[in-house]
Amino acid sequence: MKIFKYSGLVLSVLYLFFYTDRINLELIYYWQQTIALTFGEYLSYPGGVSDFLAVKLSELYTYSIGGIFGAAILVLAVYFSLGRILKQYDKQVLYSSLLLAALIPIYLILAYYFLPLGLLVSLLMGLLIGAGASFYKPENIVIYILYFGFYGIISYLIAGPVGLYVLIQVCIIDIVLSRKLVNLAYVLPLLFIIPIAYLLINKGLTLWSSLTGPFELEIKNGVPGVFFIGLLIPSILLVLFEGLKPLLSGISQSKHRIVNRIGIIAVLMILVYTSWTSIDTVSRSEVQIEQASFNDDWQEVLELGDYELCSNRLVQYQVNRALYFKGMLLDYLFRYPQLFGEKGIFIEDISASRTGLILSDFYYDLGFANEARHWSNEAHSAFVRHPIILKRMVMTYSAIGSERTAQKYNEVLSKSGLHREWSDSISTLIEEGKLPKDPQIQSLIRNNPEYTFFANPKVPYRNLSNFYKQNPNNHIAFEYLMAANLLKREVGKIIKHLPDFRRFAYKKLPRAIEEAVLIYLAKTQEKNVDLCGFIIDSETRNEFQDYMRRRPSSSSKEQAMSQLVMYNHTYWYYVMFTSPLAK
Amino acid sequence: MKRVQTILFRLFLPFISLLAACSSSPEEFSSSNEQLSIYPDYTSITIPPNIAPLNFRINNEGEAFIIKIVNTKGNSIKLSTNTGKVLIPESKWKKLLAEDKGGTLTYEVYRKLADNSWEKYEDISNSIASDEIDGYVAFRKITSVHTYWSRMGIYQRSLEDFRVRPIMTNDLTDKNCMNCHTFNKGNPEEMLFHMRAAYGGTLIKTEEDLDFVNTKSDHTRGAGAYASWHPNGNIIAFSVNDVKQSFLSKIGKNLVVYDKHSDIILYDLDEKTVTRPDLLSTKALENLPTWSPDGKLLYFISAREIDYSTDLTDTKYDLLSIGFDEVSRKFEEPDTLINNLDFGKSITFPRVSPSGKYISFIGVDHGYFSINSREADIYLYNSTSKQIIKPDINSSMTESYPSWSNSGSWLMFVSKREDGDLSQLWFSHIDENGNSSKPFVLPQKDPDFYDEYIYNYNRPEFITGKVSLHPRKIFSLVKSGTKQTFFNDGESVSMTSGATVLSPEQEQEGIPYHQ
Repeated sequence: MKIFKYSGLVLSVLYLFFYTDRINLELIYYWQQTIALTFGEYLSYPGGVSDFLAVKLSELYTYSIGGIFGAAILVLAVYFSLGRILKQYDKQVLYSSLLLAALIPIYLILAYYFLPLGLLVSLLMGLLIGAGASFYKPENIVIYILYFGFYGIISYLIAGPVGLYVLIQVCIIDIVLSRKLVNLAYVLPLLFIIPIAYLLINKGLTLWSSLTGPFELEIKNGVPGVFFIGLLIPSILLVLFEGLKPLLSGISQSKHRIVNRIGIIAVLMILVYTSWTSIDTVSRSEVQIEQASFNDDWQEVLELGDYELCSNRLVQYQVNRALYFKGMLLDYLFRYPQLFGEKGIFIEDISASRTGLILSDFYYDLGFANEARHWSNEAHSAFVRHPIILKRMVMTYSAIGSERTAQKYNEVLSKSGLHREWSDSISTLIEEGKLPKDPQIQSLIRNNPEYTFFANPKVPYRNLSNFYKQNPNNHIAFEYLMAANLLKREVGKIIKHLPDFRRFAYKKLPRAIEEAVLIYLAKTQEKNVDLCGFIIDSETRNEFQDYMRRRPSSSSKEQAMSQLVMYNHTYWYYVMFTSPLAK
Repeated sequence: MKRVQTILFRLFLPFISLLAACSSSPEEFSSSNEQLSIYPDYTSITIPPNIAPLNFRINNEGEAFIIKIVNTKGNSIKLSTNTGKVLIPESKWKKLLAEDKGGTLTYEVYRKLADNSWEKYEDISNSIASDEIDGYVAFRKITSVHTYWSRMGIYQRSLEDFRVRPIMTNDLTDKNCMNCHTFNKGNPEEMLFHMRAAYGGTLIKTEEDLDFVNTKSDHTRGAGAYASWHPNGNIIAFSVNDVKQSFLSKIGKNLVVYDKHSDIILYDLDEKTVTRPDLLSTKALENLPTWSPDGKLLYFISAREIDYSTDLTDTKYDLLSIGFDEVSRKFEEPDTLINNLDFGKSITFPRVSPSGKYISFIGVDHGYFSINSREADIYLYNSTSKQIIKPDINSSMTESYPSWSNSGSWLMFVSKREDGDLSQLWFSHIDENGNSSKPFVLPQKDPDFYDEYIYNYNRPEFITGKVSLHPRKIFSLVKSGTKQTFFNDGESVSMTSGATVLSPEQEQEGIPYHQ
C-alpha cells in the first residue's frame, strides 16, 4: 500500500517532465526576470525571503533539468507538508488520493506566466512552516499561544501575508482535530495581530497592505482563482477529510485498497487532463515570440507568429521585425493581417511599461543609440533590475561615451550568475579600453544621427524619416520606412523612393512594392512613371489584373472580402479591406 | 593555574598579535613612491564637525593597510583593512571631530607589501569646519525618468549617520508621481510636496496643520509647481507651468524641457486662496520663485514668451527681483539683476543664502531645466557688490540645484561629475567672502555604494531636523481627496497670457481683463 501510495506521487512528478516542457518554464523566467537584491534587502519587508527564493527558482527554470528539478521540489514540498499537517488522517481511506488532488492547483498555478513566482513560493513556504509547526502540540494554552505566535511571526516575515494565512489554517486544523475549539479564541486573534503589530516597525504600510502585502497589487492586476484555491488547500482538505469520514466509514477494510487505488488513478487522470488543457497557449506563444525576438531567433518568431496571433499588436510588431531580419519584410508583409496599419511598426503610443523594453530593442537594431538609450531608460523606470534592460543600458551608454555609467549598470548585472560571464567580458573590455571597438558599439556610434532633431515619441514616422535622411545607407531604416509608407497607404512615397531600391542593389522590386506600384499606376493613370529600370513581374501583373476584374462594383464589404479572399495576402486586399484606413 | 594561564595565552596569542598589528602603526616603513588613490575622493576637503564618517576605499594594491586618522589635539582612530575598505567607527569619528572644530584631520596610510615590508603614503589632510551642517537632507529617489515612472519616493537622510527613512513613497498611492518637496528655511515642520496622477494634489504641513489641497483653479492652466515659502510661513509662491519635453537625437544630448507658458502665483495658507499678481503673470515666462530671507523681495527668473517658431536654444532666462509688502500683499516693479545677454547664459534655480548676501544659481546655455545639460554650472551672485563669482566647485558634467544650509556656510548641490548621467549629492563650505572649498560627495556606509547605485538624488533640500511625517500618515490624509482652494478675485490681473487664464465664464463673456 505504501508503495502504491507513493507511486501516485512518483507518477505525478514524472508527469512534470512532460508538463513543464509544455509550459516551457523558461518563459516564466523570461517574463519575470530580475537581478536579485542582496539577501538583507529582502528581509526589510514581509515575504521578502520568498521573493528572494522565487528569483533563484526562476533562474533555475532556465536550465531544462533545473526547471524540472525546481518544479519537482516545489510539488514534493507541498505534498509532504500537507501530509505532515494532516497526518492525523493518514489511516483514512482516500488519504493519498486527496493529498495528490491537493497538487492539482499547484500544477495549474505553475503554468501562469504572469503570476509572480514569489506568491507561489510564499504559499510553499507557508506550508513548510506550517508543517514545521505541526510537529509539536503544546498542551499548556500559554505555551500553545506563544508557540504558534512565534511561528506566525516567522511565517509572516518569510512568506508574508500568504504564509500567515496558511499558518492560520494549520492552526485551525490542529484545534479542530484536537477538539479544543476554545483555543481558536486565543490563537486566531494573536495571528491577526502580527500584521498589525508590524505596522509599528514599518510606517510605509497601511493596515490593508500589511494584511495583504504584495498580494494587494496582484489582486488589482488579477490573480487567477486557482491561486486562492491553492491558498485554501489546507482548509479544503480538512473539510473533505471530515466531510468524507461518515461516507467512507462504511467501507470495509478489505475494500480500502481498491478504493485507494481507484482514487489515485482518478486523481492522476484529473491532474493530467486539467493541467494539460488549462495551459494558456495563446499567452505562451505571445511570451515565446517576445523571448525569441530578444534572442534574435527570427525563425522561431515567424513559426509561432501565425495569422490569428497577429491580432495582438505586439505580436504583429515582432513578426514584422522578424520578416525584416529574414529578408522578407517587403515581400511578405501582407501575408499577415496588419490590422494596425503603421502602428504595427511603431508602438510608441502604447503606455505600458514593457513598451520601453521593446522599443529600445527596435532602436538598437536601427543603430539609433540615443533613442535606444532613451527607451532603455523608460523601461528601466519600471523594471529597475531587468537583465535585458541592463544590457541595453550598458551597450547604449557605452555607445554614447558614458562608460562609467555603463559600468554601473554592468555591476548590477554581475550579481546574477546567469549573466556574470557577459558582465565580466564587458568589464574586461572596459578596463582594456576596447569596448568602443566592439562591432555593436561601432554600429551604434556610426548610425546615430550626426545632427540634432527632435525625436518626438508622438510622431515616430517622422523620427524614422529624419533618421533615414541622416543615414541614407541604413538598410533597416529604409525598409521600415517603406513598410510604414505601405501601411499608411502612401504609395506616392513608394514611387519617390524607387531610386533607393536601385541604390540598395535590389535585383528586383519586393512583391509588396510591385503591388503598390501597380495600384499607383492604376489610380493615377500616369504614363511615364520611371521605375528605375525595374520590371514588374508578369505574375504580379496578371494577378493584379485578375484582382481588378474580380473586384465587385457594388456589394457589401464583407461580400467583397469573401469574393477576393484568395488575394488576402496582397497589398491590394490590405488597401481595400484590412487597413485601419480602409472604408 | 599557571598551566591554565599558559594555555589561554597560547590560545589567544594569534588574536593578540593581530590586535597589536591592527592597533599600531608599523615601526619600520619606507616612503611610498606611489600616489595614494582613494574613493570617494575625501582629500583636501573641509568637512562639517557633525558629518557621518567618511568611509572610503583604497584603490592601491596591497596585502593590508593600516590607517591612522589624527586630529589636531593628537587623538586618533586606528584601523586596518585587508580589502582596502576603510570603515570608520561612528562614535569614535564623532568624538574626533567634535573635540577639534576648526582643526585638521590627518590621515596616515600604511601599506603592507608582498614581502611583508611596509610603506607609508604621503599624508592626506582635511579641515574640520567650525560650522555644523544641517542634520538631514530630503531628496527624491528616482531612476533617470523621462516620460514614464514607476517606484519613487521622497526620503530623508541623516547627514550625521547613514540612516535613510522614507517621508513618502508611491507604493501606497498607485505608483503616482511626487515631487517638489520644499521646506520653510529647512524647518521639517513646515513643508510641502506635490503628487500627480493618482491622488493628485499638494500636501502642505505647518506647525499647526496638515492639509491636502488642489491649487489648480479655473484661472490657471495647472496646479502650483516650483514653490518657495515666505519666511512668515503664511504665503507660498508657486510657479504654474505648462511643461513640454522633447527628446534629442544627437549623442551627448538627452532631452529638452521647456515651458510653453509659466507664471507665478501666491497661495495664502490661512485663507486657502490663490492670488495672481499681474506683474508675475505676464506673457513672459516667469518661473522658479524664491524669497529673500526677510521676505521683502521675491527673486525669480523670466524669459520672453515663445511660440511655435521660437528656437528653443534662444530661450534664455534673466534673474529678477521684485519688492513685496507683506502687509498689503502688493508688489513693486521688478528689477533685473542679471540679464542673460550680459551674462551670456540662461539663469535658473536661484537660491538666496540665509544672510541674503549671495544668490546661488545655475548658468546654462538655454532654458531652465538644467539637470540634462552638461554645461550647467553653479554661480554665486553677490547682492551687495553685484559681482558674479564662479566658484571652483564645478566639473565638466552637470551641476544643478544648489541649496544653502541654515547657517549659510554649506552649499549642497547635485552633480553628475562621476559618470555624466546619475546625480549625486555634493557639499562645499562657503565662507563669508564666497570662497568655496573642494566639494565632497555624500558619505555612505559602504564605500562601494556608488559603484552600483543606479538612482538619482533629486532636488535635495537641507532640513534642520527629522520630518515627522511618514507614508502611512500621509496616505491616510490624501486618500480622501483634496480640498479645493479659491481664487482671490480681489487682485487685478493682466490679459490672458502665460499659464494663467480667464475662467470659462469670463471667456464666454469675452472679458479681456479680470478686475
